[in-house]
Amino acid sequence: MTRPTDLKYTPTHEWLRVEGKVATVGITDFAVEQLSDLVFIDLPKVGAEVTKDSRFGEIESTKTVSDLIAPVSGRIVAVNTDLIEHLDLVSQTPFAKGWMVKIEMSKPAETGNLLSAADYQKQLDAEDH
Amino acid sequence: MPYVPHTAEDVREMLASIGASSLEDLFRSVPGDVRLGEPLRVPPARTESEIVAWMGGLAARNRRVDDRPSFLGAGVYNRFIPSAVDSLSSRGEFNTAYTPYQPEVSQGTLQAIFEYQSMIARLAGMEIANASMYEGATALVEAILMAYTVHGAGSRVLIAEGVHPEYRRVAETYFRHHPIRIETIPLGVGGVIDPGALQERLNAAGDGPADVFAVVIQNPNFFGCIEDGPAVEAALKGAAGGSEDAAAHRPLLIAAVDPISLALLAPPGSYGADIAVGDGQSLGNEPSFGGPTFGFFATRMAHVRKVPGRIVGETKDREGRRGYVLTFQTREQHIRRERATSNICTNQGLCCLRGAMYMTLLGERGVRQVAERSCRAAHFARRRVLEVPGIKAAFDAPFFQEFVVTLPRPAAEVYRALAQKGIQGGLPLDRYFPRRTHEMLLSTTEMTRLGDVDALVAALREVLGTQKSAPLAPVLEGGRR
Repeated sequence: MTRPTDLKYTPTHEWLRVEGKVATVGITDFAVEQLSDLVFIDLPKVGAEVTKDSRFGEIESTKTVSDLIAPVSGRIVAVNTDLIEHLDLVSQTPFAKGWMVKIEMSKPAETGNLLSAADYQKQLDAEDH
Repeated sequence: MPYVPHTAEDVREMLASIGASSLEDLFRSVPGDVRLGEPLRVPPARTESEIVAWMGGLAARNRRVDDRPSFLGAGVYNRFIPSAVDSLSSRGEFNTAYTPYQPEVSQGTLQAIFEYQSMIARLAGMEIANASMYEGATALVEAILMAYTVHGAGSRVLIAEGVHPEYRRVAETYFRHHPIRIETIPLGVGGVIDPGALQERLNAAGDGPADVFAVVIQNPNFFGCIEDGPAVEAALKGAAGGSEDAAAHRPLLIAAVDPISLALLAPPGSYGADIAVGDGQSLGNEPSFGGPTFGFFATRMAHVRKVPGRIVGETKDREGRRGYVLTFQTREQHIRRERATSNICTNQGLCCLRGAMYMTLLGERGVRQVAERSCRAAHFARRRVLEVPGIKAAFDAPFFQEFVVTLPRPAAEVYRALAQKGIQGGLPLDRYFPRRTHEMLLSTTEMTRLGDVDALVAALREVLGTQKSAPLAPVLEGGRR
């Protein structure tokens, strides 16, 4: 799959779209494929504080439960509640309608450490799944 | 070796096929300094008939709850078990079945567990029940751990003094190296929780009311008294003046209940319990010196992902036929490892199966009859016992199948004296509450006969009418003459 090149990526398979001070976060196609059949998602409430590299929720498939890791620190300003009833939005369109949360960043400089689409692909190749 | 089925020829053949020349060869990698170097000190083998006679002699020294009038309860009860439960549960298909990981070969087991879960949920007035826990005490501890996770904010759990002391001790063991702190809600004067005192506890110290994540009550409590569930529910809601923040952090209510009592008393679901647990021994399982038994665990559907243990669900196969599977397995530790909410990964299959069989054979009406008879027997017994001069009631709260009396002499002494007269007395409370030296918990079930009560009362009159009995012997000694 050709991944959007305007996004940033994390080693834990989240993606980030930055618009001003707000970052939209979701999980990548690779994560979706590894998880297989998605059954449940647990997302935080609007207003919750998150810290870079810590857990902000979890996603459950028939195989396992995976933590969702925040790529940046800040405050949750929006949550995609459509996912509760329509979790298939994550599997169908992980980079668009499958977005999970929007974070108002407290330290925008943190995005500098994230991976480009090319670097993310390199990591996947190196892990050779 | 008399207990190993291989012949010398079998052994030679096996050794040859792996290229070893003797049995010694197999242990060559064990260092000499850790070897025993001498034969095990085990008595010589005996014949089957000698062993049967010897074991029979040992067994004959046991007392049973049903070999003489018995008023001992406190969590384990003498109940009628239909013989069909024994014969059905000892069928190989049930008795030897393994954990139902492979649904395609385990439909019988899974369906039985699903039915068990459904019956427990119905009895408790809750939305969902799991496939069972080890027994009542650990079921309660798992409920507290689950409440800790669900609540997410507090670190204190208030446990009523009326909760079985052994359940409390198990909780203390579990939380010894854990952030959870246990506090006690003292028993009110009447023998039940005082809702005012509860509310005070909820608002007291710590980090405020949000710091209490759960309140645990037992109903009927250890002293036999029936707690006022709705009053407890109201106290929880009313804590911290009912502010919005307090409501968001309302402590979870956990109720440890007697399964037979649920057929007669208002169930935990009716007074807002978030989790209902208890011991299932009364449902088709023998007392057996305390076990094995099973724990039941029921809660709200909203919390299903935090429930410990196994859950069986109903589904459809590829051809649209109804089937059963272990579901929500991603909560369990074999999938989540250290992030699982509990490390139990089993259930008490055979015991909860017997429980399901018992409930099915008796039905709603039958279980209710058991409850009614147990209750009536207790009220009758208490009335008669209180007629004995010197004996007083310890509490005046409504009670189900057990009640506490205050005796004019130490209860442990009276217990021993009753034993010498062929009566299994009630539990002397100082076993758990050192200051309650003269209190005894008397228990009745549907198996208690009028004659048993007559015998108890006559024996009490004799014992209390005479001088102090013989020198002290260990508490709860069997009734040897």
